[in-house]
Amino acid sequence: MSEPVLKVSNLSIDYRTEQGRLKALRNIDLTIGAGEIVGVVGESGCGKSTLISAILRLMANNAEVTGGGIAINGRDLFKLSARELRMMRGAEVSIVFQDPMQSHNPVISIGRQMVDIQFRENISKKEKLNRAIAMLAEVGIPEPAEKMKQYPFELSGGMRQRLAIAMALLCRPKLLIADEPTTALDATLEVQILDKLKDLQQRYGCSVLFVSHHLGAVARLCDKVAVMYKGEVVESGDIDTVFSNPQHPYTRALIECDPAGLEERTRMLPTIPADFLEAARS
Amino acid sequence: MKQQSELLKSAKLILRDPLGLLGLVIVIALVGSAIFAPSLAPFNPTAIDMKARLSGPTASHWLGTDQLGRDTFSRMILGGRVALQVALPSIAAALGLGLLLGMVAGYGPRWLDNAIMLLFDTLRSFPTVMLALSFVALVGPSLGTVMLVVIVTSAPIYGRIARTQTMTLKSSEFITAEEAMGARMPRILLIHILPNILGTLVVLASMDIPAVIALEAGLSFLGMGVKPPTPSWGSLLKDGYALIRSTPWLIIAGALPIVMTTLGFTFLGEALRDVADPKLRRTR
Amino acid sequence: MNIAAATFSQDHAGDEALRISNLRVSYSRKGLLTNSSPLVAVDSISLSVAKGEIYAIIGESGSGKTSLLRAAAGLLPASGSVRIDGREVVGASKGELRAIRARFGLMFQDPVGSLSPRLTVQSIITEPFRIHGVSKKDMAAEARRLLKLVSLPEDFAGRYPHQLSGGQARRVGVARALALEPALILADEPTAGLDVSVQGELLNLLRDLQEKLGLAILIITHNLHVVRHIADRIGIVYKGRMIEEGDNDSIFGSPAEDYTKLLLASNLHLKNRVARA
Repeated sequence: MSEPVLKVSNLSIDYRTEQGRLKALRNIDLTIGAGEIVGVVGESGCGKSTLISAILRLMANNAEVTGGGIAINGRDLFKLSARELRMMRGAEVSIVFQDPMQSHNPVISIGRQMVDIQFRENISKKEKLNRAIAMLAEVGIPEPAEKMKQYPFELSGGMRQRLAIAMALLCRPKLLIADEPTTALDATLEVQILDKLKDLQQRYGCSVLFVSHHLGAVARLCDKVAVMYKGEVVESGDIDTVFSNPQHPYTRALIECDPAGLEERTRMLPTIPADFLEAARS
Repeated sequence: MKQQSELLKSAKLILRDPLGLLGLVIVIALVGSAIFAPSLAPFNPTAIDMKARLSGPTASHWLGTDQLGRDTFSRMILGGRVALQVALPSIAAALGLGLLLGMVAGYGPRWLDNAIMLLFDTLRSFPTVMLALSFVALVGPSLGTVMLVVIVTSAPIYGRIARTQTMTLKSSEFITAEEAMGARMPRILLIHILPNILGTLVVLASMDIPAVIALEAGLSFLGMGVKPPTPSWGSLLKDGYALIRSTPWLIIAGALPIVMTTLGFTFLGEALRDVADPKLRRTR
Repeated sequence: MNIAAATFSQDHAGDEALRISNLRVSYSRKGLLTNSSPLVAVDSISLSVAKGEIYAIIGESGSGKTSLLRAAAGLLPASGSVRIDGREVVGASKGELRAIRARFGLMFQDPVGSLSPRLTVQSIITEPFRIHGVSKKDMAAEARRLLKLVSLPEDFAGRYPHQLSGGQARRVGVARALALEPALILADEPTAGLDVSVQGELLNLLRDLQEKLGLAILIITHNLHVVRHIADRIGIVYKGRMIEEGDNDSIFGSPAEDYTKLLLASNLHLKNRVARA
């Protein structure tokens, strides 16, 4: 079998705080093979963000890797030099954030940003511009040539997220990290964006790490899923298996909580208490 | 659990911050030495002793003497009085005025904002020294004139910052929440906006205190501030500059307290800002 | 308003917590050279919320739902009519508006951002008393009472907003909205930014409070499914207009408009995947 695009093995990360050490990640194992879409599901504080920052090696100053490692295309991430790291970010790994408004420079036109991002390519500016226009058309932005002169804030939320995906794909990454890319979007748009993402992924053949708290979105897009709770992966596997036959009580509770799944009007919505696992274990 | 008063909690937090504590100690020492200056100073600062002129540090004259044989250490101690008398009240007044006008401009209706901004810009467009000269012409040279100049030139600076910060906060959701509950403008400004902008301005103001002391020195030099032979740090620097080939001690006696004051008020100001912001408070 | 409608509103004024009639909100689009027509955010929307009823307005971004809520709370200039507890909001003087604002509570989208950052939870939730000059002998006791109402521990009174989780901050917002014992709560995206598990808790809380206190609640949200179990009636807004209104079961069971059907179909859920596979 070929080298996995992303291999997180036994990764543990602590945050040093005034109150002592905070265990953000505990023995995380996660593998994404070539062309796979893997979802990471969890609620706030489960360690999703720490995991992403570790994969990009953009960890907070007080974060400390206490064990394990990350390999991208077989190379140990923690052994890369600063230069190799820069080459890797953007060229091998791209990211789409939750809020595209904040991840684009507001005072530079879309065209220039999309040309600039191809700085590694050895082609003329004209070609870069054409590639950018073609990419905007790919992600379903109408009148792509006109959009080149516009600024990100002139686009609607859904269009901005398409733009973010287009920019991420321009570098033809091996791994696309999508950090809650549809959370800020309306439900009808969310479906469109997810379907677009899936379509593009199949055509470009990249792997996707899709991080979300929304089970339904993960189910729509992903092949495999890892459920995170309090810094641990509590359950992982093939998506149909995990969601149709969840083994871990937290996974089961999470599925029950999704209001989209309610068939009938119920008097009380199911919830997950804060000390849920402790209660479930005892 | 017993509820501690906010003030006591703040005091404790300042004491826990080493730099804040250092700032507090320096400021207390400055204020204390200014208040008790007459009893702390070993000599009469204006007593002339021509036999002992331009001496270096000796057992009796700790920082030497100037060209008239006056004791430099005593002049330094007494100079602190003038400095703080001018700096503290004028900066406090400028800060208060700037905050009030700036917050009203930032929060109130557009026409009021325009009017206040016009006032600020007009005042700022005068060069400080020109303004000082015209004040002297109108009311005569005195400490009061220096203070007036400081207030008129500093208040617009604080006001502008207060206005910008107020405008940023005005559109935030917690201010809209207050408006939606029916809160009136004074309440919104004093309880909800002021605590959020005070920290930055207090730090700025404490860093301005030494600048005011320098301004006082400059104006004294022009004969528009403190009249000789009253000692001030500015006049010490001025004399020291003229006598730099004979003795370095006058410059040291003028500069050291200004540097200490800058550091003291800056450290204290930063500690105060951290204490005022619950987000920056260190929890045990 | 025609005569029949006017009579109707008079007859039912006593049972209504909120009546919005022909509400219109428009923003002028000022350009240096362009002289375009004003942008109409809310276009003649009418609805009424009975006492003790939970009414949900569903709309996606740009539908005008937030403008509708803000105009209803008197935070935006509007035309038409908004009557809260029988009092007119549109065109009310500052003094009248202050009096009306004591009679409804407002919940904001950003759970933490809508709480004054330098105040303790106790000060925040007792703020309405001070604003409206309601003298309370013991503010601490009032704070404890309100915290209990929203099921938060008493010792939260001393905390600051940044020390709260999203769900806790949202509860504090509910407590504040309830301080003056209003008959109506206006809630802007009450579940925005909350985890799925906490979403349920909050909606359950609102349902409990509605039953216990006889509250009328107007909920604005983009997510149709979160109001499935809580709303009595639902209105769908699209491009500033109310395109469909009905009781909960009829909206979910037999939607009339294509847009409503699309909203219902945009239900990303596990079972949809399993069914597709």
